[in-house]
Amino acid sequence: MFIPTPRVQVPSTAANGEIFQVKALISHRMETGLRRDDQGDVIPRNIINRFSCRYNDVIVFGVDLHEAVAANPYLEFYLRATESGRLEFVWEEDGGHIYALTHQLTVG
Amino acid sequence: MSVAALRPQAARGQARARIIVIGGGVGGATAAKYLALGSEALDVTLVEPKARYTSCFFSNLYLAGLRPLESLTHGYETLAQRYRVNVVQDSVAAIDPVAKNVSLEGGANLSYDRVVLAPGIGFKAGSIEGYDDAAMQIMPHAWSAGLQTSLLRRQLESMEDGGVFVLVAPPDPFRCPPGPYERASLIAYYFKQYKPRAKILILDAKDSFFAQDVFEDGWNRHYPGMIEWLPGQFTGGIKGVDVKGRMIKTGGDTFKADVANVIPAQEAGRLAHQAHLVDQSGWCPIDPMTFESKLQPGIHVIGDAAKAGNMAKSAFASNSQAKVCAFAILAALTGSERFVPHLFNTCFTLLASDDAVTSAISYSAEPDTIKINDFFLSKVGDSAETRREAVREADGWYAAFTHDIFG
Amino acid sequence: MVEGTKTANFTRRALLTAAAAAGAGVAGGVFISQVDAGDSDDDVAIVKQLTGKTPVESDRIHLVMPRTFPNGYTVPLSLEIDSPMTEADHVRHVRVLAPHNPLIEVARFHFVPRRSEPRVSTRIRLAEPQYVLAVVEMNDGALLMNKTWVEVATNGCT
Repeated sequence: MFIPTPRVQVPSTAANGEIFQVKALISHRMETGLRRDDQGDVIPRNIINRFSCRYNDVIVFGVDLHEAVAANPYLEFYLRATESGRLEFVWEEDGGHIYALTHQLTVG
Repeated sequence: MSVAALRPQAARGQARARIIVIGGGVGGATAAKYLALGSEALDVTLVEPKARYTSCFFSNLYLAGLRPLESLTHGYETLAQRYRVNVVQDSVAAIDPVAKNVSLEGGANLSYDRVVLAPGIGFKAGSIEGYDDAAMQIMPHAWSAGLQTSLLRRQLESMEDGGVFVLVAPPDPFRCPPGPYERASLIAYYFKQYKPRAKILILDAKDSFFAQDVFEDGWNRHYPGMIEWLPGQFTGGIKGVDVKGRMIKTGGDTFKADVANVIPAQEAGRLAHQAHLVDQSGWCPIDPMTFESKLQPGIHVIGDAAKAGNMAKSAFASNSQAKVCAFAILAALTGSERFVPHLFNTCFTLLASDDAVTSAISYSAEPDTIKINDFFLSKVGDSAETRREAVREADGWYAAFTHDIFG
Repeated sequence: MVEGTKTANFTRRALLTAAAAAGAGVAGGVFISQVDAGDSDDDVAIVKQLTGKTPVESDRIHLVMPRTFPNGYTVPLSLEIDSPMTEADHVRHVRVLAPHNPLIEVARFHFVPRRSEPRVSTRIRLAEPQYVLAVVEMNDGALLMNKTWVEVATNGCT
């Protein structure tokens, strides 16, 4: 069974108050539910429908993704460094599968 | 030499106009053949260091185990014997556009009326730190077919099941836009049979690629989960290689490969630079009607090295350009009919042994550029039979196309 | 405030039919072609139907996409909203809509004052050349909108 690989690019350190960039990508076909297979049957929808980023357990950024987000959804966003701690990235797939990554950030 | 001066001389059988074609790939070999075929008033010489040519096109089938490398190699015997092209196996040392002279490494000096230069591609020096001639022997590019291709094949064969094959894909423009992705597909085809736990990671300099929807659909159908593609946007681009550790460094993470295929950024081949035919883009500006260089009169540049507007850098495009160039030279030197240039590209790309996609593009040459007239491209959702039929067409196409060049 | 809203996606036709029906107080089918006629009004009608509010065009929204792109399968999109992102004045979320896609909702980005900047990049699918809309909801409930024309050569939604 194929398990998508979630990936992020985040700095390890940031100055207090600094805005830093986060890049997140998961290899996922984002099947829209609009296509048919060669037997004429609809290929069921299977997309990543939600992405969220928690910073020391507080949600700081979130995305609801729909069918028109391109395959292998790529997200680039910007957070403010407020304290050292844990960034948690969660991708939620149709059907309830969850893919997650954590990243340690040192703010000094 | 003016046309008026040339024609009586040719008629008397003296001092036939001398054309030197440099480079025996698709563009050069086609140009030599069609020039020789076009008029007996031309004395056509083809200079190429290698005894035989191995085609880049279809070399991914060799990597997949679907074709022997020998089936992709072609000699120049027919050009020499049937078309009386003077085939010289040597390397060009220098082209002197003022004296109209080409000197060869072997010591010979050839004077010319026209040069047709088909130097192919070179790799941009320093675009990937640490990727030098020695590194190419460990992490092959396999973007010129032959020894590099067989080296990559041997590495793939000796890789453990569960290993990671990393393919570094180049920035635009480069030779064969679908090539890196066809390669990933066909290496996946090989892995699926012999190393089903292996992974393929494509580290792309680009953020999207040619017919990406068609490729990704094929990867999902044939090799679910085996191929992962990371755009330059995500990785921050390809920065360098550590040959000893088989590591590839990007703007962010460093990736470890068991087998690495590094296809660097490209530019016109070395000879084009040496002869001052290249502009700041790294490619050779040409007149789209004749493929004569805009920088050095009397020298025509065809194939991957030419800056040919919207034409893809491909074998078929080079063949098409070679014919336009040959007819333009024939018209200028022998007074034969001038043709309005028609330029084409066709390519077949395999996603699996029974799944090929095709593209066909026609172009029109305008004074300053070459534009796409019309194009056809296979689509996501084509029937399995359509794709199987395209595989059969691809085989026939290879035979007919290489016959047009070398036969 | 950034909890996901997992609503069903909509077709343009369904929204415009509903909008026409609501406006005229009769069954909508008859009015579809009428509403279809004016594209710019359509955009507002669609946003109104989705949100219940009338959006105001705003140049505080910087929606950047290529004017032409060869493949509708993966079109780059960058979005930035001028906002101090204080408790008193911030962007709550941004919805991206592609009204001529089979399903018009593309994505919704949620931001948090003092913690995230209203600035994102992603890649989207477009079925045909069209205006892509960005609809921003501010913390006071105000709705801002901007749009950009994108010409794609191939349908990226099949």
